[in-house]
Amino acid sequence: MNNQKAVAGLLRECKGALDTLSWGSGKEDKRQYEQCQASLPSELRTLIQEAKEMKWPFVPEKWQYKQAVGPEDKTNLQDAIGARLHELLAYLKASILVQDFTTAAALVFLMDRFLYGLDASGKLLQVAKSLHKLHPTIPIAPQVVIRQARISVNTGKLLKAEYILSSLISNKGATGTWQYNKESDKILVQSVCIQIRGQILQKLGMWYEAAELIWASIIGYLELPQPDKKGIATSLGILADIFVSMSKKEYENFKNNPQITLNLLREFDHHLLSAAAACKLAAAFSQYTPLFVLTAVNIRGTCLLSYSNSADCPPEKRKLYLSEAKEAFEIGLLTKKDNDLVAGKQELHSFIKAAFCLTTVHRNLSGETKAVRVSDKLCREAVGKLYAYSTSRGTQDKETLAREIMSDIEQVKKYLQVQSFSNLDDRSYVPESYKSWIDQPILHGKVDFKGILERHSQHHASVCEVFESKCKSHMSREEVKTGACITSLKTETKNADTLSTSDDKLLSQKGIEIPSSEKHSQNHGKIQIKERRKWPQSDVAHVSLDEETETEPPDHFSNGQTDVSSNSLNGSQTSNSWSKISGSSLSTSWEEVDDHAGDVPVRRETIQEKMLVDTQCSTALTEDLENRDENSNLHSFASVPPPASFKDSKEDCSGPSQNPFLASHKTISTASVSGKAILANRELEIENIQEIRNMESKNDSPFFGHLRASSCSSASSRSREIISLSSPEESDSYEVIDRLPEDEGNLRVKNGEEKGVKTTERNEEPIFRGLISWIDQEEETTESIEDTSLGQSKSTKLSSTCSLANKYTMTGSSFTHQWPMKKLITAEEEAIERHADESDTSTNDKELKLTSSKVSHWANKNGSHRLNTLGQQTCQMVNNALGSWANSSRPFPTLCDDTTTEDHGGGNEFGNCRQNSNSSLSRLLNSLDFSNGSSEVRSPLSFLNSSGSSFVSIPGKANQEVLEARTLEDNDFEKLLSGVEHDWLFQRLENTGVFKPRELHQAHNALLLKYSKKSELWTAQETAVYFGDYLVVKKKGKQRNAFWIHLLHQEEILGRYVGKEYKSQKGLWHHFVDVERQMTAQYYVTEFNKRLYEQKIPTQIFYIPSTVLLILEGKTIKGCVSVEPYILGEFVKLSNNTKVVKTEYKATEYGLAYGHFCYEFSNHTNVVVDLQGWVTGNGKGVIYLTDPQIHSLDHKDVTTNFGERGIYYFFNNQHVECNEICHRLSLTRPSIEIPS
Amino acid sequence: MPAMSGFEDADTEETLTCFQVTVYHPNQEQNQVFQMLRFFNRERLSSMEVIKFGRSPNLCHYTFRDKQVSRVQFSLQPFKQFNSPVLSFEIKNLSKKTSLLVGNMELGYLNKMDLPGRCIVRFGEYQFLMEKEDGESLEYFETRFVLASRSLLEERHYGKPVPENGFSSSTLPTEMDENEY
Repeated sequence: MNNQKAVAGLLRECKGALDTLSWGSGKEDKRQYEQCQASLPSELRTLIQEAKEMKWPFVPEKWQYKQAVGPEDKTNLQDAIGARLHELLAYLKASILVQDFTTAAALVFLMDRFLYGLDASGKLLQVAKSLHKLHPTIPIAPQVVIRQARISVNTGKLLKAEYILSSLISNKGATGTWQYNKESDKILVQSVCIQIRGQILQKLGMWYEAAELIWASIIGYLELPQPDKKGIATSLGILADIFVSMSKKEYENFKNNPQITLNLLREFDHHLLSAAAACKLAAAFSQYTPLFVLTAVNIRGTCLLSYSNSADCPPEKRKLYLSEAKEAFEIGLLTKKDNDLVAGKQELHSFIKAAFCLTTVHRNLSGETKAVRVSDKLCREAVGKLYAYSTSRGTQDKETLAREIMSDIEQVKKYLQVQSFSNLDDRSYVPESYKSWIDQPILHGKVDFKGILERHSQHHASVCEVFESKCKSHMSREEVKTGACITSLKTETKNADTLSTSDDKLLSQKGIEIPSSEKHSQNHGKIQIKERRKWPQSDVAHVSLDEETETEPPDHFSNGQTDVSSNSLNGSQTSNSWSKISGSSLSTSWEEVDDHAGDVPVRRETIQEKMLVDTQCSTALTEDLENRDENSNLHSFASVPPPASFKDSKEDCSGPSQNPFLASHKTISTASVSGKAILANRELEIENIQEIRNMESKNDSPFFGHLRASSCSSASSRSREIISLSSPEESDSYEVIDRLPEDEGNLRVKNGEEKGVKTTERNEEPIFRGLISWIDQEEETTESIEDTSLGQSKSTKLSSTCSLANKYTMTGSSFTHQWPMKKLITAEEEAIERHADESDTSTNDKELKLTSSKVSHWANKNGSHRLNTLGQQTCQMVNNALGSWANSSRPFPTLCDDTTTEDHGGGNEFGNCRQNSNSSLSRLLNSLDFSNGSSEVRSPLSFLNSSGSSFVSIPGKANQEVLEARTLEDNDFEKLLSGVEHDWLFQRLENTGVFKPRELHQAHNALLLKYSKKSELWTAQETAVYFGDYLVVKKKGKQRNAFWIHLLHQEEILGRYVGKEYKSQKGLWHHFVDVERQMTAQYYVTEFNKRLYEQKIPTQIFYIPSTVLLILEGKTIKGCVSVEPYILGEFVKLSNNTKVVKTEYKATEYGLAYGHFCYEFSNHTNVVVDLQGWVTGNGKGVIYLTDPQIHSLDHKDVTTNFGERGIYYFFNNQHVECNEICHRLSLTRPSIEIPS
Repeated sequence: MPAMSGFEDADTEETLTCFQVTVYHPNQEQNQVFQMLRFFNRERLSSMEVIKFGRSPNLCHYTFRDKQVSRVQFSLQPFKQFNSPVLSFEIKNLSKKTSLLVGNMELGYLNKMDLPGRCIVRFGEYQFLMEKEDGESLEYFETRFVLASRSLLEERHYGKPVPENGFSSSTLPTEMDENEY
């Protein structure tokens, strides 16, 4: 029905048409235009006409403002537009070609909501922006401007969204030349803006404040001459969603606030029940629009499910609420008929969530039945597909994926026997029972919307202030007074924005940024900076545009030129917009902080970071902004098969480029295995060899076993480092390895044997496998310990390890096939990798000797308590090895065709080693190969395992305990779902041991735990998640990796979220402490903000809310990560947790005052330090922070804070003198003694 | 670590496991046996090292100026327990002639054991209260020496809660300060 590819293509054409517009259009164009117009049904023509006349600020649904809905009103605008989408798009293009821009703008307006549903807003907004740029006087609808804000929120550019919204609110909806038909329409615009602001605060975890705003938006909707039912429905849904997250206390506060006049709150005692009721109402209000109904009933079901789990739910009523939840989810699932195609992330997500939650309800009602198990699995798979869908670049893929997801959903519906209900009104998607309250008044008493706006005016003003000075210069040249700048300024930044919209990653950026930079080059000396900054951006788009991109760069230039000329026709617009950009360093500083950082050295990093930030554009690394030529160079090659281009582009790449030849080494390796073994011996210290010789039984094989262990470990040190170096490839490799153990293999060891012993050709594979098996062995140390019930005879252990080995052997082969599917690697990344490899391998030598000697030593002394330490060491080292190994072989697959990957992979491995002048390593690896293939596989394997299990004198029992502690009992679940205190959790998780990082690209069941500082409770929700790619960031965290994550229960369906995992093995508690700390910082900052607000200091600081995710397999905890919303922009560190403070940022002043405030507020026990996040250039407006450290005199988490010493550092090194903010807040300066 | 600027410097520092040793010897005043120890100083050491205590400055990291002491008396080595995210230490007696008392355990030559988070170690007339304060870092740990003015055995009561981190705080008795600092 709505072929996404065609849509994308048409939009691109529109954009192209705008960019290359030639004046004076042909007859053909004219004819086309008229044809398009004529082909549309009258209904749409009327709508277009009304849009042109600015009749409404938002395209209305027929039922939206009617109290009594007639049958003719029970339609969906979406249906009308969807049916004619292609014609509308063609019309859009035609009207651009004949330069009927007013019609074009009207069409953009009309299609906006529908295309948002198709995740195509980014491209549409670009068209809008270009339109506006060409003709600033053409009115752009508030709906479109607000769309920009919405997209900004989704992608994590909160400040930009805040700016757009605040400006619209405080300027009564003024935007460009738009003229409101009715005064009340301005209230409508303000209400919508307030609603979105509420969603931002919800995203930030400020439940109470968010709820207040949502309530305010409802007041606004009700103040309209005809209440906006759609708006009210949406707000009620959001409000309910907020209630789910609120603590009881907060809800009480909200409910008891005399200004809050919602009737709903009066009727129910429990926040979850009033939330459920709100959703019922929401669904009834929007009963004719399936997506709205689905969204509302999903929230309703979630509320009821949570309530049934809560301690407040009387046991006898539990079933009742569960069945109501069941009904809700079923209604949601029934909003789509069997064969309708669902396109759009929001809708797909909502369906999966409904299916997943329905499964959970069924489990609660009738236990782990087969239907539940199967449905659970289907949902998990669907979550994986959804992730693929949202990251997919090929639109064809998207459709296939969407269809697959919906067929999974259909299956779940069958398994769980979802039956359609009878409905009197066959246009309605909700049953009669939901409609009972629809006529009840929502509010009691009368509230003045203006008064509410007044209350928030200070915030809106201060956000606007951040940008104001910049907008003025521009404004003076525009004919229109206030708010005029909003579209133009915004559209200016829109580019950058849409670009980074991951959902619309394909945006062809060309023509937007480039022209401006071209223009600048003519007008400004500063252009260099600008231009470079722009370039990479456009490159990003290219890179992601597959092959087509190659042809695009030339277009750029011409685009740029035409743009300039067309602009000059419009008077001073050109320089104008430039001044906007360059002037707006503050506003842009958000998106492009390099601006305010200003100078050249910084710039480079920033650009990189900027690019990196965008997931989609991970390839964007290419643009190393040195110069343009290089860029395009790199760039073009990124889309070409790599091997050739490697050579050209970077010298560093010479290494890999030789690889193809290295295949020849393969033969050598087998031929001279024995010889190598001897060589390898030499590498070892002689005494070791002797020790090894002393080994009982099969002389050679154990020896090889050692070698293997040691060679793996030889690679050790590098992996971690490399990984933290953060080129995305590392992460990729990490991930691949990680998933290995998970794959179920059934290859026998035999397999490996055969291959190893005979054919030279195959000989490489065992190497691969050998390594993998070792690596995994290590990765799995904990697990393998669990697997083998300890204290059993050695032989059992032995066999179990072998089975592990089997698994890995198998995965080894599957593993290679994954390579070709990986993204193309850019030369730069390769280079980094190469460097890393080279430098690291040299260190390997030493360590190699070290460990090998240890291993042998340890093997020799078989069974002493010493095993513990040594074993662990080896474990760690081998563990490390895996990363590096994968790393070294990583580049290869991109260099060769998939058919031969496997063999080449092996060859490559050798090749790398050789190149890296680490002969010993390569020899060892070679010999490894042999040993792996040999029939002695078992004995070497048993070593590590026994080491693991011989865990000092507290053997089996301790591990058994760990395993038990990791298994959640039913009553644990109950407690977690109803909310537990910190202490309970601490005790419950105490003996769960340490966890390794989870494998990426997997869907998991999980418990999402939110912490409320106010109630000091952790409350869990059952959810399903998908772990996506690692984030590509400029500077990786030292301790943790960040990756994309999609949760069914994420606050914002279209938002982006990141998961954070520890690189090294950590206990669960670490994550909980992290989250608690962050939520504590959030709690303090809320108080701090109040003080700032009182003092009329125009700054607000937010801590990004963070949650814990316990990964489950069945009922066993398998891992833990923390999750927080993604914020787009340049990440900066203002201070660390000891003595460093970065005074060059203005925001630091506010940050330090905040730290000082915390000290006072906490009765001199805590300071919040390690300030980092996303700031504005002048520190005003909104600052978003994350990952705080808190130095606390409280002993609770002694391992992570410096306590008294930290507080001393803060006052004596970081915050040596009180600043203006401290003074204005009347903070007193403590005298801190040097801690002993 | 002076206050610095520059992007790279603002790294969050990991807390280090702090190994605090309170030492006592009845003749510490007269003989200055602890002369070589720098009290109250935090010294950062690599977790890969084995730290030896004894008389020989060539062999040992921490030395006691006392003929009675063996050239190498004992060693401490950091390690990580399975399923633990933090460092632990094991102690090994390297003296052939003197046995080492760790709590109530007596270690002979080359005997070793895991060191509890807090315990008293003795040999000859030497007394050491060894306390571990956990930190995040696995790469490094730090040591800190404190001189006790009175015998540790007389005034210490086992099982009594003492701040794990060695800092005094409002909720805890100030006993430590008076006596040892």
